[in-house]
Amino acid sequence: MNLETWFLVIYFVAMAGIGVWTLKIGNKDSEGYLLGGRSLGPAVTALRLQSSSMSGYMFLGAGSLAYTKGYFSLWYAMGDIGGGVLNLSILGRRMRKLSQILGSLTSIEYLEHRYPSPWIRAIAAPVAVFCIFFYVMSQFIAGGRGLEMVTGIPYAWALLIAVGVIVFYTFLGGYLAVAYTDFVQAIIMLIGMVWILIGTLQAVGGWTAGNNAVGEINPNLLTMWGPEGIGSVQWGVIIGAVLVFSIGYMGWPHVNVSHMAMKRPSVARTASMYATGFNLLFIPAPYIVGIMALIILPNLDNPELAVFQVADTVLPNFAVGIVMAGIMAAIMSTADALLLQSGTIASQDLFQRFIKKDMSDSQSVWVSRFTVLILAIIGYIVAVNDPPAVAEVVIFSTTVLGAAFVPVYVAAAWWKKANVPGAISSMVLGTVSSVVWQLTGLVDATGVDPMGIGIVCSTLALILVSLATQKSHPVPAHVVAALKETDKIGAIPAHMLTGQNDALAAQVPKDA
Amino acid sequence: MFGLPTATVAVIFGIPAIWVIYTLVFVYLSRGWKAEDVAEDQELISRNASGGNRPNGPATSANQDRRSGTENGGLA
Repeated sequence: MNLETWFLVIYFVAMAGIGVWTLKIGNKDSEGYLLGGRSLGPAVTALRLQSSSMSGYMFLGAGSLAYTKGYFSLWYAMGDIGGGVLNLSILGRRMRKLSQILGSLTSIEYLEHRYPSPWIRAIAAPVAVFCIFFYVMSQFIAGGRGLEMVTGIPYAWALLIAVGVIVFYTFLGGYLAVAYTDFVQAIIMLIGMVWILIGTLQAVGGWTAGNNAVGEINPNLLTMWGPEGIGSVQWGVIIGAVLVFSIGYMGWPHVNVSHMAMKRPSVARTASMYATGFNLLFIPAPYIVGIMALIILPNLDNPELAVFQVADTVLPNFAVGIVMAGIMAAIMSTADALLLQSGTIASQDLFQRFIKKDMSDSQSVWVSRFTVLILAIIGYIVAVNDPPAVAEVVIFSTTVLGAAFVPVYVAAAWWKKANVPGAISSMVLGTVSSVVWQLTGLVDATGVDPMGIGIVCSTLALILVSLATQKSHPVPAHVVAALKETDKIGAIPAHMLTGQNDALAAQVPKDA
Repeated sequence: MFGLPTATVAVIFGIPAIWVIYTLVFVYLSRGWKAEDVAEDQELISRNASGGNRPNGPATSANQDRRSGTENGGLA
């Protein structure tokens, strides 16, 4: 076994160890398993939010994009850097407080509590599970390929190991295990990425020398307009690129659940500083490494492996092991969050809500675990037999998630007139428009990103339908009261705390 | 600068600078949120004093101890 493999083995054992360590808390009840008992501080909240947002895409897709498009690719990074603070500042405190008042345990359940109708969950849960399943499958594939490259183990076995470790600690400790492993993984990702960047810049003689060398290949690669120059710029794609990774995060259920698990609503404030600091250090690095790979590895067959191959070329053996652990960390931290979220949606938002309403806490946790296991097995079978392209699946599933859910999550916390018909039409139109735009080839024909179209459609639908149906479907008084309480800075009065129950759509506060 | 066109430098340093300023403004404007923590602590103390102790402190949602059928989601 080579040195790199040893580092990965140590890393895998450490992650599994965290799963065992959090087992006790994760088993306590649904809130313990699904939200870590709402006990997370700013550092864990911020780094968990960031690492679960940044998947294997950062090491595969970002490097590939930079290798082929040059500095144009940094448009994606420009949106991404602000994604964390935007999410925390707009949703953080309000979603934490509102979810506590309404007694919500999952980010989909929260939507049904805010927009009280079973249709909300009946629409949101399948859309979320569908997108998240494909997203998590892409992470399995990325993990398997990364492990295969480092260790030389055949892809099928590498995939099985990667999936096995992720499932093991998600299965044991639930949200707390995912949050703490994500926290550790974020630090490993940062160390790994900064190390590759430093090694790369040293190898090319510094950033300026590297840029000069890239300019000799094609001066347009140094511009923000792409390799074909400013004449070929598609502004719709640029705006979409910035949107996907800035406001797009606010529609991702597996990311938004971070707000609900915060120890206190005010955690969002400090967490925003951690998030921005982490993003500034981490996000531009894989893009710059990808650009410099043009000099170090000018004849790369597969640009997706640019960051892997550069690390292998410029770093000493022991450092490659740590860096590879960082790459696996990026993949696994997203995969575990997605897996837990899809298990949660299936157990809480579908099974318990529509099939077996009198499930105990313990049964609910076990259904969630069983779902995690089933999804992992299906994901493994698909990924090992007919693996699709990682970047395409990631961009497609995250675009649909963003288009479907950003307006309903933002309006849930901020707009008292946002009602059930508005939310339903927003989710449906956001999903349909982004999927149709993507699948019918309208992106190439119009130069407009599906995320942009999806967000515009879902936002307009929410506003127009909500306003048009205010009289026939007014926002319930207890929801308005909860929103007014959320506006205030102060403790939630005891009478406002609504208990969770099987008739979730009908719940009202005690004094209503 | 750094061998890059001026527009590239402006974008790759300018936009992150905007996000840093946004973060600082947000942190400044939300400085009053600490008052919420103090209020929550006081609420917890008063609940404890009246025998309403919760297992996980103020952060725990009501569903910790309101799952009984009689509660019925606050309808009772």
